Amino acid sequence: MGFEILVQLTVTGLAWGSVYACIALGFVLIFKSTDIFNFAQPELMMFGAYIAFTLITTLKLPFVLGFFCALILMILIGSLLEMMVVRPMVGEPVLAVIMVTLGLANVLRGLTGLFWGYEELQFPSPFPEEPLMIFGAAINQAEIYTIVATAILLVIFFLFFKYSGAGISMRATAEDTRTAFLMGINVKGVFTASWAIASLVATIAGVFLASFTFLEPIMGHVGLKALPAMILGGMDSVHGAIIGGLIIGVTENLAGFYLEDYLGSGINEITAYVIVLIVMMIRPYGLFGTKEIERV
Amino acid sequence: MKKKILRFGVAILCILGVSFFAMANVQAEVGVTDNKILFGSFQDMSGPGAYLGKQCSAALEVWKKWVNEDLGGIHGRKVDFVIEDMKYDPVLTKTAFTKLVHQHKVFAIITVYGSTPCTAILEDIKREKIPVFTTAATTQNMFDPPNRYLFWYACSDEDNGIMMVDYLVNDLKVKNPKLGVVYQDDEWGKSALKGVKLGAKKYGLKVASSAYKRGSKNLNAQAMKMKAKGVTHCFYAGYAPVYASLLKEANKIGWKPVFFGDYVTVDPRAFMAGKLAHGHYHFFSLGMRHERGPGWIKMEKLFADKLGEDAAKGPLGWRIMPMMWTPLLFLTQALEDCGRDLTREKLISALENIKDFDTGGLGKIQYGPGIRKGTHEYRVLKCDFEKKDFFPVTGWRQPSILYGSKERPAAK
Amino acid sequence: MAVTRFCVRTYEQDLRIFPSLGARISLIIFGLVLLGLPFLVGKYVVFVACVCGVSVISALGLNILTGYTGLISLGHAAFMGIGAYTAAILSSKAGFPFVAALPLAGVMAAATGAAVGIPTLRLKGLYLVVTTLAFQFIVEHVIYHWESLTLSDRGITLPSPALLGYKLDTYESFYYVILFFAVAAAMFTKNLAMSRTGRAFVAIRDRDIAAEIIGIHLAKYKILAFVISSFIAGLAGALYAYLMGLIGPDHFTFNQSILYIAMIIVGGLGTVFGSVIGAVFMVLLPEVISAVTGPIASAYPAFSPRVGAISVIVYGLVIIGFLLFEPDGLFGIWIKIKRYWKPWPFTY
Repeated sequence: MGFEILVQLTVTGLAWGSVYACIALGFVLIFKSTDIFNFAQPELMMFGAYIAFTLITTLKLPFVLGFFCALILMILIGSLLEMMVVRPMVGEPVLAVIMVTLGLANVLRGLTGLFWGYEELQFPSPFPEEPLMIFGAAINQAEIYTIVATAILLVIFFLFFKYSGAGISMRATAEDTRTAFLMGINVKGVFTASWAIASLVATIAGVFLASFTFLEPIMGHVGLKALPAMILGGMDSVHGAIIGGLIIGVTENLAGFYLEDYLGSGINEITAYVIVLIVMMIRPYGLFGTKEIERV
Repeated sequence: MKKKILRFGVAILCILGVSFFAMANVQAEVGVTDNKILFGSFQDMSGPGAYLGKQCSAALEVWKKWVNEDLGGIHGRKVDFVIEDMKYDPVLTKTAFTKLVHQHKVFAIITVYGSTPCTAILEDIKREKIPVFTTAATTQNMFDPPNRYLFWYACSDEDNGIMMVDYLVNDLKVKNPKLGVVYQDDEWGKSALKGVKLGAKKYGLKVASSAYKRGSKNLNAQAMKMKAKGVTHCFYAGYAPVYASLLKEANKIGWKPVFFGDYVTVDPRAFMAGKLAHGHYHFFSLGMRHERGPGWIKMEKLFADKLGEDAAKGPLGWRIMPMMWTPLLFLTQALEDCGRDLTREKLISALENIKDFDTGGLGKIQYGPGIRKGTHEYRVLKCDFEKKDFFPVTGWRQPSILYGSKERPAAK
Repeated sequence: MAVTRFCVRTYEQDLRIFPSLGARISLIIFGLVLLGLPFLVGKYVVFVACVCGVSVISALGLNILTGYTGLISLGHAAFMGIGAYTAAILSSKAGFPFVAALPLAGVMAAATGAAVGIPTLRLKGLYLVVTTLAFQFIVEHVIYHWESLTLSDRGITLPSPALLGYKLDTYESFYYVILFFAVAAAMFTKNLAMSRTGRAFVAIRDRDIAAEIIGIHLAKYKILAFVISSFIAGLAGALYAYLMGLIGPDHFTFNQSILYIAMIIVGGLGTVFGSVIGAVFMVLLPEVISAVTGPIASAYPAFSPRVGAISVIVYGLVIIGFLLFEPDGLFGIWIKIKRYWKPWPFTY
């Protein structure tokens, strides 16, 4: 009985961890390429989910088609936002850029409230409701697909950044924009591409999250958990973000069950942040992050 | 030299600007003029509960039109209201309250809600001596201890928690139920836990409980804990979509209790869980639209008339609408009882003295000297997925341990 | 000649806080307006002014940490919360008078600041940001769950502050207390900026490794920055607690931390003027928005939920707009205005 419980908690934790991982991935992508911390990432996730919702329910598109159209739309929106709002801020102090992304987050949330209202909406999940049994643990199909999709994304991005030309130029741009520019890399293109890809990943995360919970304009709150995931994994590491997310998801679910009686309710909310503190003490750059070498 | 003049000029402009701002807000009366009574309300228009703001503003709009157009006003005065947005935030609520009282200078505050928002202004309400009728906030401290100026009208989860145990033992006659409570981790949820514990103590039963943080959507750990403790009957205190998530989660892990939801779960969003919602119980203090009582029929007519058929659909579809509408009817009666010479203190007395107010089946509402709890009776409803609605399975009843009794003393 | 007199600043003038006669005159006029405010305007405006004042104090504190020393902190609201709760608990449970509770609140917050500062010495940039964020959430959690001390959701009611036997239970009277502290905080910060410590802070912000090389003791100054900043934040929090009369865990959340960051950025990072004007701006912005949208919502009630969403959008757009056009914030705009007028009536 005890083991079954452990397996169940772990599996559900992995599912939630995958959501955190996806969101963290979006953060890391933008950070890795442009050195900007995009506070609007959770809202991009929310917006993507809502757009998918509209395409599928209002326009009655079949799920897969609607999903892909939403991805394309969000890529366009992400690129547009980057060109209009973020590009002019290149070179400005870090805090100013963060603030701009925060303002952007507000705008996106307001727009969502404006067009779709503030009520919680049921997302048309394509996954059947009956749970599957794996190793004695029940898991929703939506959760399985999320874990699988995240794993696939992990592999894709790992290979992308390591081996493809585009990926390497993105890493180069992050390391030193000016040198990358001098080397002939299309820096502007890299910036826009990073936002486009981050929006894509965000939409995927949003659709999955909405599938196993529901749609609401404050969905972005879940996105805050991605920050500990990023820290744990290392802020510029793609695989770190994903592994960090999974670890956070599993740990907080386990803590929520086993520790609630001793440490009070809400322990699962705080676990992620306690982990952050511990990691920061031991390994300030996270599990896989690269140590920044500063030249004076 | 020119620079000095420039700076001087700028300074003068600032002073003028400030004075202008001040002058624009001077008002003489406290909300009552010869031909108008000004009410104020603070609503969540753009925060997490913006749904509530939308419905309540609609209700207020209908009420205003009904009083002014159909009743011709109250003793020759029309009513008007002004709404401030507080986004469900206690700090903004304090700002909104101060604005309503000192800038808009309203006569009374009506149709509010929010436990943390209303808690933030409890002392201010007392200090400003302004009637607040009513608050639908779910926590006990709204009426316990009673605040002379604050009237509460909602459902008390503490009452309902006791009633769950009453119902299990006396009506369903369940042998050895294993009681559980899944609740939102704040004063609201805790009052539910307290109620169930009081009921359990009376009948010699034990209670398992698990809390979740407001806004949290992952209820896996909580559901697992309840299943591990073998809970067979579980009280749920929290919002409807989260209730749906809990139903789905419970189903997923193979935990199959009978749920008792509080009044907030009497909501179409409970059906986000599909047929999993079927057959569970809910506590409710209001009449249901499908019962076609005179109160609901009149409400339907008025809303459609004043807002238009389409705009009225949303508000009328909200099961909790009578919780906002009934107090407005009650308030109208009290205002008329005061006569032409209207003051805040007279209104308070009038509100205390109305007995057996006929709401046409919408639910009961009554106060008294020192009594600010307006709801005393509830019914148990059962959820029907086919009909996508909730149907009463008991008559109007009270919890077996009353508020103010020895086991449930009022706070000092 | 008369014009150019104001363009040239002597070394002595640079050392003084208010370099020119013009600055001093406008400040005196401004000061008079502030002193007379409660007599000019209604109670609600005084209340808003009080909130502005508290925000100004807190923003100044954050500015010392983030603007001058470059240590970005998302946990500022947590420090305010610690100060507020200390004052609340001391005054309501232990019967401490206002004059004692206030500094103790600052001290408590400062102690926590040191506790946070020490482990974060190694952290930089975004790692520091997220660590302070973790701190913020943990403090929120502790405030919420340590019920015996903080009464959690129910909140703590504070007794009215009294100064030398005189009860300060109206917004108007408390306004002067806040005004006093705001002015004191501004003068302190301005002095700090020009002192040796302040210059050390700025050196750390610009290039901390280089600063260390030239002999600035990094650990000492970083911790000092945290301590000073959180002391001021604790003070602001305590004042806030007395102003509100009742505080709860919801008053010191992550969103508030973000708001304070917004204040110092929109105002202009690293300047006293920036913090002051940024704080006032961010407090007044929602007021202005609602002043515009309120009548619209009342006139078209069917529209009112939309109006709520629109104010959120406008809020975000204003922030974006500001920073796109002037990343140095309101202070940058002010400098541009001054520079534009300086050679007046010549064009350049």
